[in-house]
Amino acid sequence: MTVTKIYKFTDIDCPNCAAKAEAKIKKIKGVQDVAIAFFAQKVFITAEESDFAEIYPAAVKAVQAVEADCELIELK
Amino acid sequence: MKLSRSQKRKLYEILGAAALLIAAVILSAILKPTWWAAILLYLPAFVLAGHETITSALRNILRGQVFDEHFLMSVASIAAMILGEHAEAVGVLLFGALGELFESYAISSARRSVKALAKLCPDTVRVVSPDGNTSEIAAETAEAGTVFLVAAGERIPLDGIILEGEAALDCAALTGESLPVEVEAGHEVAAGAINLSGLLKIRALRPAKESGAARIIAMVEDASAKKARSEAFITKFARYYTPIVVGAALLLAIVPPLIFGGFTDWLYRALNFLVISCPCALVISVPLTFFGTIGGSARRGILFKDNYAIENLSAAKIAAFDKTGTLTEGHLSIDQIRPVSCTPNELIAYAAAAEYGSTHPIAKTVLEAFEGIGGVIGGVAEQLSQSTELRGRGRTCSLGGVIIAAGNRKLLEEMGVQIPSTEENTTVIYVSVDGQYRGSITFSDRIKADSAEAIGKLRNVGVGTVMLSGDNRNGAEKVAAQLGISRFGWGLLPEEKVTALESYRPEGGKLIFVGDGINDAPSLAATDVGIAMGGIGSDAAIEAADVVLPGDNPLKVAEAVRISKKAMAIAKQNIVFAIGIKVLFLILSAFGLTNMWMSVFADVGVSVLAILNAMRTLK
Repeated sequence: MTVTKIYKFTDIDCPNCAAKAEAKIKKIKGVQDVAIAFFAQKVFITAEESDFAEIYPAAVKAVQAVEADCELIELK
Repeated sequence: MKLSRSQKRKLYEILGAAALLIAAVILSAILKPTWWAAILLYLPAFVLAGHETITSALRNILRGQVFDEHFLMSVASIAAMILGEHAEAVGVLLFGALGELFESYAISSARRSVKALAKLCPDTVRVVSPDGNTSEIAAETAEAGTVFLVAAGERIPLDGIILEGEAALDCAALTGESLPVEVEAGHEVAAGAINLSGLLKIRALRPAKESGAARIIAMVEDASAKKARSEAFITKFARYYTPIVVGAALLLAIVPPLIFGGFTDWLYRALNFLVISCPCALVISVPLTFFGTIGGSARRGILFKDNYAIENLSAAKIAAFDKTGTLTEGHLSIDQIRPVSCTPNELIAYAAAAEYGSTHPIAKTVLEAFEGIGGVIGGVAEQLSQSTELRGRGRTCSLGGVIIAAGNRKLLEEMGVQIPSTEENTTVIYVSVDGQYRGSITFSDRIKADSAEAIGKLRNVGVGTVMLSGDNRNGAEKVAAQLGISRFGWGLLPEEKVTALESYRPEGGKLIFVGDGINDAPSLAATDVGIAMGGIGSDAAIEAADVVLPGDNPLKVAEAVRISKKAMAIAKQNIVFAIGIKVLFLILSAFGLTNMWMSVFADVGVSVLAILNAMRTLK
C-alpha cells in the first residue's frame, strides 16, 4: 500500500539546504514523492509502506549529508 | 525581539569581531605593520567572524558539496587577506554572519507566528463524571462523549455540543469574526473558541486531534510543502545562478590578465563576484513571503491550503458563488403554507415524512416546523419505508402504505399529479399523497448582511461575480437582482454546476468557486481556486478546496484575494529587486567600479531588505 509518512526535521536552517535534502531523498530507491515544508520543518515521503524500513535510514543519511546535526522524527 | 541561545551567541561573536576589527584598523594605521604582522593583527577578528563559515565550508567540501555560499565567502575572504585587503576580508565574513543571523531570526519568528496557532486549544479538559465530580485530564486523552465544563474566560478544548448553560463565544481565532456568538444548550461549539460569559457543560463530539482547530493547524503547517511556481522558479534559478557566477569569476581572474596583465587587480574583481554570488536573498525571501501569508491570514480566518492557492487567487477574474450558504444565510424559513383539501399541519406532516433522512436545507426546515407543531419525528420514522431521494426533483416515501411525494413541479408531473398553476417566485416544494395534490410550501432564505458589500469589494480588486443556484429561475433571479449580479445560473444539480462553471471561465484570468462545502466538492475541485466557506466539518470539502474560510462571512473572499495579490506583489518585488541589484553589482565589479565593502553591503543589504519586505506578510 502506498502511504505518505510525515517526519519532523531539526537544524536545517536555510531553504536552499532543504531543497538539496529534498533532491537527495527523491533519488532514494522506492521513494515516489517527497516534499519538504521548510518553515513547518516537516518532510512528506510517499512510498510503498513495506519500503519504509529501507527508506528511512537512507533519508536520514541524505539529510545529514546536507546538515550533519539534522534528525528525522516520524510524526504519528 | 526574541533570540534563541545560539542566535545570541552568534550576535555576541559578531559584535566581538566588529570590536576586534576596529581595534585592528586603528592599530595598523598607527603601527604600519608588515604583510605578516598585519595578518596577525587582523587574525583574531577574522577567526571570530568567520570560524563557522570556514568550518562549514570545509565540512561540505569533505562531503563533496563545493559551491555553497560558505565556500564562496571563505575563498573570497581568504584571498582578500592574502592580497592585503585585511579589513575587507573580515568585513565579508562579518556581514555574511550578520546576514545569516538575520535570516535565522526571520525564519524563527515566522515559525513562531504559526506555532502560536497551535495554542488555539487548551491542553487540559475539566471532565465531569456521572456522579458530578470534576477532574482535569490531558486533552489528547479525552474521547468523544466526554462531558466537560468550560468557565467564563476559558477556551473550549474540544468540539462539542452544549448540554447546559448559555454564553457568548469569541470565535475570532477560528473565523476571524470579532463579534461574539451567542450559544445555548443544543448548539454545537468549536474547540478554540473563548467562553466570554457563563458556565458551559459540553459533551465532546470528537477527540482533540480531530477538532476543527486541529485541522486548521495541520492545514497551515502542511501548506508550505507544495511550492508555488515562483518558488520553483527561484530554486531553479539558484541552481544555475551560483555556478554561472563562479564560472564567470574564474574567467575574470584568468582571461583578462593574460591579455591586459595586472593579475591582482582582476583577481580582486573576481573575488567581488564571489561575494555577490550568494542567491540567499531570493532563496529565503520568496518562501518566507508565502509562509508569512499563510500564517498571517490564518489568524484572520482565511486558510490557504498551499502556495498555489495564493498564486492562483491573486490572478482571479471571476468569482462564482453557489448561492445558498454563501450569499444567503442557508437557513430556509417557511414563507407560506398553501394546503389543498387538508389542514396546514397535515401538509407539514406529509412533507416531513417525505423529507425525513435528507440533508437538504429544505428538509431541515420542514422537520423543524413539524416538531414546532408538536410532531414526533421518531414516531413518523417508525412507520416509514421506501424513503427515496430523486436527485434534483425531490423525495418520495411510503408512510404506512400511503405514498407521499414532496418536491418540484417536475417530480409531481412525472407521477401524474396535476398542479394548479401557481407563481414560482421562491423556493417551493409541492406535496402529493397517493397521487392527490395536497398543496405547496414556499421557503425563503435571507441574503447575508455583508453579501452586497462583498461583491462590491471583489469588483474593487478586479473580480466579477456570477451566481449559481439549484433553485428555480424566479428564486435565483430575486437574489441576483437584490445583489446586482447580472450573470447567474439556475435549476442546477451539483454535477451540472461543474459544466455551468466552465461557461463562466474567463479569458486570461482564474476562475474561483465559492461554496458552503456541502455537496459541492466537484465544483470546488473543478475550478482554479475552490473556496469552502462556513465550518471546517466536511472532509470532502477540505480535501477539494484550495482555500477554507471557517467563518461564513462573504467579505473574507475579497480579503483573501487582496491578501494573495499583496503576497504575489511582494514576491515579485523581491525577485526583481534582488536579481536587479545583483546583476548591477556584477557589471560594476567586472569594470572594477566596486570594492569588496560595497559588494558585501549589496549582498547582505539585499537579503535584509528582501526579508523585511517578506515579513510584512506576517502582520
